[in-house]
Amino acid sequence: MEKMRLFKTIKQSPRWEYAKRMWYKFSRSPLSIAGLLISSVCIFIGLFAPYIVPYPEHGGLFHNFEDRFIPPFQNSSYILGTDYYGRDVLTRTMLGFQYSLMMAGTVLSLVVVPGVILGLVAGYHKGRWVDTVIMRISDVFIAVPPLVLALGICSVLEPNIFNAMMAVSLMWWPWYARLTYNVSSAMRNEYFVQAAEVMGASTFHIIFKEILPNCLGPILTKVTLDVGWVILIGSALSFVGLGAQPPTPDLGTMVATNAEKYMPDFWWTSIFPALGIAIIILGFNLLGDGVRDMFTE
Amino acid sequence: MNSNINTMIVVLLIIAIITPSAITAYMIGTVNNRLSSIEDALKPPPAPTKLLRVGFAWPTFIDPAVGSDYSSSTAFANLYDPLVFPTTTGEVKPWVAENWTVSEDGLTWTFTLNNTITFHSGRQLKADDVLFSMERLITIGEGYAYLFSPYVNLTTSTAINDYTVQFKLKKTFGPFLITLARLYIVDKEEVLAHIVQGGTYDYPPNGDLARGWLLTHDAGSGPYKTREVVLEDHVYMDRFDNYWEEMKPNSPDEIRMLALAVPTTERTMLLKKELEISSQWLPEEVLAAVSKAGLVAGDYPGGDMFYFMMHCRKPPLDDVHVRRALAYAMDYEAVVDEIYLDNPLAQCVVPISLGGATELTMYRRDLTAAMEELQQSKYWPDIGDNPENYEIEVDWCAEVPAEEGVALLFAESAQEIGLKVKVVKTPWGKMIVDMADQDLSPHVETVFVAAHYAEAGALLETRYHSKAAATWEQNEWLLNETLDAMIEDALSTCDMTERYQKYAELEQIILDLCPSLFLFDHLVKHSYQPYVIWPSVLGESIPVMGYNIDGRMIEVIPPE
Amino acid sequence: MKMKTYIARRLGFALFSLLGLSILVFYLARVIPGDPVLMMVPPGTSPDVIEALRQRLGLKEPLHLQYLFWLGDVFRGDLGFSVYTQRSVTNDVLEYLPISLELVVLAALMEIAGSFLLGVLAGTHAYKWPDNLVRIASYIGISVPAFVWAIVFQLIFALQLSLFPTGGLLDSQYMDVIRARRVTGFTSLDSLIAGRFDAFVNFVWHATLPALALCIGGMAQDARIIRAGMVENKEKEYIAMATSQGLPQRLVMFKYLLKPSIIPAVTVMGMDIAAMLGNAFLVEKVFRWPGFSQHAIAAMLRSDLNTIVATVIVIGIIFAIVNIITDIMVAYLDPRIRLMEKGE
Repeated sequence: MEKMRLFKTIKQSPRWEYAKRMWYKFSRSPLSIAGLLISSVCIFIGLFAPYIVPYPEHGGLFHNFEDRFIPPFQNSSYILGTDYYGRDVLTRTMLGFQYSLMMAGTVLSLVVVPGVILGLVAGYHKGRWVDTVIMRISDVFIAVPPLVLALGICSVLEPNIFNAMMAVSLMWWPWYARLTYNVSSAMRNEYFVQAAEVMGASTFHIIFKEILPNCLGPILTKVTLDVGWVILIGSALSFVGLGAQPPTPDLGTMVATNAEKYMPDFWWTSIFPALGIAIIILGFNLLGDGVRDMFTE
Repeated sequence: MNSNINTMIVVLLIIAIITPSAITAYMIGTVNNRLSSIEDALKPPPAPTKLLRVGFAWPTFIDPAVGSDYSSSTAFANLYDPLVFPTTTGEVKPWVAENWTVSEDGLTWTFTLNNTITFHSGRQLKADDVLFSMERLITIGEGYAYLFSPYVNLTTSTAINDYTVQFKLKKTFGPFLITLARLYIVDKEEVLAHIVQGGTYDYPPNGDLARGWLLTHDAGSGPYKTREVVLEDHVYMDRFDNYWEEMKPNSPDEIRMLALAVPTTERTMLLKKELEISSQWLPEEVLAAVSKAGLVAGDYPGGDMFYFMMHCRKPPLDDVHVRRALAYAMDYEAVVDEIYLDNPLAQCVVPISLGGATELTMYRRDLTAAMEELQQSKYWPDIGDNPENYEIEVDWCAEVPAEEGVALLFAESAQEIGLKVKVVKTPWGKMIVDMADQDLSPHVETVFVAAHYAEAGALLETRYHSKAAATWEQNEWLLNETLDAMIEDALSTCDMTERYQKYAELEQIILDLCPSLFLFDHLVKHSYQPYVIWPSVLGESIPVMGYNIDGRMIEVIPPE
Repeated sequence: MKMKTYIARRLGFALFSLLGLSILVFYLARVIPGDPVLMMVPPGTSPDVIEALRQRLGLKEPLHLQYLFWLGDVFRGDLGFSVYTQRSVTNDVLEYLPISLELVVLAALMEIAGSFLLGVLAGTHAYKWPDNLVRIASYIGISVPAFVWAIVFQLIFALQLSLFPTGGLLDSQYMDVIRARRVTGFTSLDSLIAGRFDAFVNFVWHATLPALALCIGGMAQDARIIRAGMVENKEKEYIAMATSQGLPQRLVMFKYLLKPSIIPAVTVMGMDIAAMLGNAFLVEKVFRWPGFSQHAIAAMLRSDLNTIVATVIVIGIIFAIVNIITDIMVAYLDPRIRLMEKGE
């Protein structure tokens, strides 16, 4: 199948050349490499946490009240200290990586594709009824406060992490639809799109092969940022009793419940999980910047 | 066009970041005499001489016919006068009622009133007001009405003269006098002057009986009167100078009840001396931490007990031997050593401080005895071989995080005798709904339950009488008619000694039946400033909820 | 199409989606666990009283009838009765909403200004040290939840350094004055109307920390998006052309580069700010800010159905308004959209 040669389309390059060029653009910035490394470490921890943590049982129903609230850096058995139940903070933070990344990954994979597709379609057909319908529906879902939606769903179904993820996904997709809509509708009247239309390219081709690649920048940036937001929303849900049920080590929950009570006297119980979130966000954002650089000329 | 963008940025800068300082600079620059007020605006305010600021959880309903929880009861104690006043022993002393007589059959109570009491409105307190208060309470039916509605006959109760009121009862009620500590006297004319017709609440012919107005005002005679009430945020009360009774010399000029929900904020306020008494919800560790910074940790018995309520109709807990096995397996010491520090272990099936509570030999940790009991149950040996078929679910209240620790200890103890326990965090709203339905109720609910008045019978009734089975104060579903009859009989006994004896019998029966785990008598803990002299935490606490933060008795001597 | 028609059309759609939203939430609210009447009264209350209460509060009607009654009331300005506060929901909304709005407006202004500054700074000096500094600062800003910032700010600036108050709207001596002369319900406006500039300053002083805590996350995110947009568009041909034609760099930067770069940021900013109202509850709790968000969450946990629905409607209205404003701004920033609309 012959591809259209338009001055904006990147994909005309043969594959290997293309890949090499991408990597070059990515690796121009040392920060992007750092991002790649950090996110890889995070994913590695996420995958193998139960096997590498010092006290795997601390992720479950465990308590050892004699060893509670040990400060960090003082005890070789508990490097980052212990919490109210005597559980090792390092262990729970690392297990939290697994849990939180899994949640973010699930939600985003459920949300990004439908949201982006809907936004593209609405943006391409801007001003027509398709646009209106899609955007108004997304308005409704955006406007429902996340907690109400989550409460409603989690009360019909069991209050557990899976259903919380469903609830979060339901309220998340409109953001992608909206962002894609705004970016693609701005792009809709660029010359390259009009040229493709004139040349008789199918709508499918135009949307996915012309417009989409040029929207990828803001979308990817948002995806990398959202890894962090999903984790934080998860913590807000846990706060009202949904989402992660105790004693599941969810980073956001650990930050929320411990910051409220034990700051600043027992700061390590909330600061280290918060650092965990920060590291995940840092890694994925740097990675995302590099990815976006790949798509820039 | 580009200058528009530039202008936009500059304008935004000015608005968002420079505005506060610009205004300040402008005012300092243009008007000299505003200078001092700006400085004042940024300084901490000068506090009135004696200010008592206390932390509370919301909601607080200051209407004595509507509120019934801890914060509401504290407001009542300061804004209103009850008919009789509770003492440290739980018995009551004359207050609005100076003396009283009871008829032979126990159905007619005649009270002679103190004639020196004036309301905040300036009117004299008369028998009409007392009668009206009872009528209003029972008509509205919420708050503490349940203490009186089954017993007081409104149609035959009268005000005999200006200072004598007579209550007639439908049936005898032994503890009647004590419950009158919850009858707060409202100013009848003041209430009737503020009724609103045609709202959601309608009690013909008196409209809403001033429910709307009494949300943010008071119609009382108590030592303090409301100055400002902002729902969910604060209740400010000023001292009532014409109060009929004596108040301690350094008692506060103003009491502020502040809604506090976040422990770190409370901690900051305590350390900055913006709060005199903390709420009762500070975690133990925070209490310890602020104590090191000069604050004082005080406690008093809350009059409530922490129960593990076992569903006696849900297998395997429908077998008394299984219940006893759990009672013997539980590690009670660990609970009060690790989580609810220093709370005294239960000595009776109700808090020992209640009148008529007798010391019993309670279940204590004994794994051998536990196994023996378990082996006598009808589920043995299957329950030993396949514990996962008999999984016991424990629901703890999400709003009280410390309960999780106790639930975990219970799970661990059960595991030591081979039983499987599932621990579930449950929001309060769901708990209430679950406990209203026999099928929805889980195996075990963990709840603090307080006695409604300072007698064992109060708690025996709410905990084990079937009419309260669907409330959140019960999860046992005993529905035992014999027990019901015994409780009713005890409550209608007018002679106190006899009544207490019947309580003792009931207590032993319940202990043997073991429908609940009796953990500890709750100690309410507060952190407070060293310049506050607070009798309740110094050993003189009153076993009735709300009377321990009483402006009459607390003295505030702020350092210079 | 003209601006007025555009706005009118959008408002019409907004109303329509609000209606749909109200139905959705009405149903959801009834499905939430918890019985509002049981939570309202003490456990000993007689079942007759409880039943009577249910009757009074209209909880016994079938669902669709309840909805219709409610809808009828709304058109008369009556949002129903709140079992949580024991008075009309309209009353609650009028009391608490302005307080939250003030906070959100201040936070929004801080966010817009801050993210512009940081984003432009980072974008125009891409890959150099200001860019990296902004990036690192923004990671820290995003990764910590708003209420943790609230606690940290409170501990540092209010406790340790005593530069700001611990919480509340105003110091008590101003509170008495302002409340007595309430006109709008907005503390800032009321104090200006009452001629008390000192009260106004005191209010801004109290509002600074919570507003900052609220907007930092969004500010960090938006700065990054603006920066990303600028970096991306910098490479575009039309920029190269403008530069090659000898236009001064500053002109190129602000006229040609900034406008398209901020389109995605404006979108996200709009949604962030609208979401702030609903998400502010923990920050409001920490700073004892008696706002709408913390009231709504508390009522939700007590199954106060009318407040739940009213909250969603109010937030829905605000979202719709903010979305319309955002769309207008995007149309302004991208003339092609306007032209296209005209052409249709």
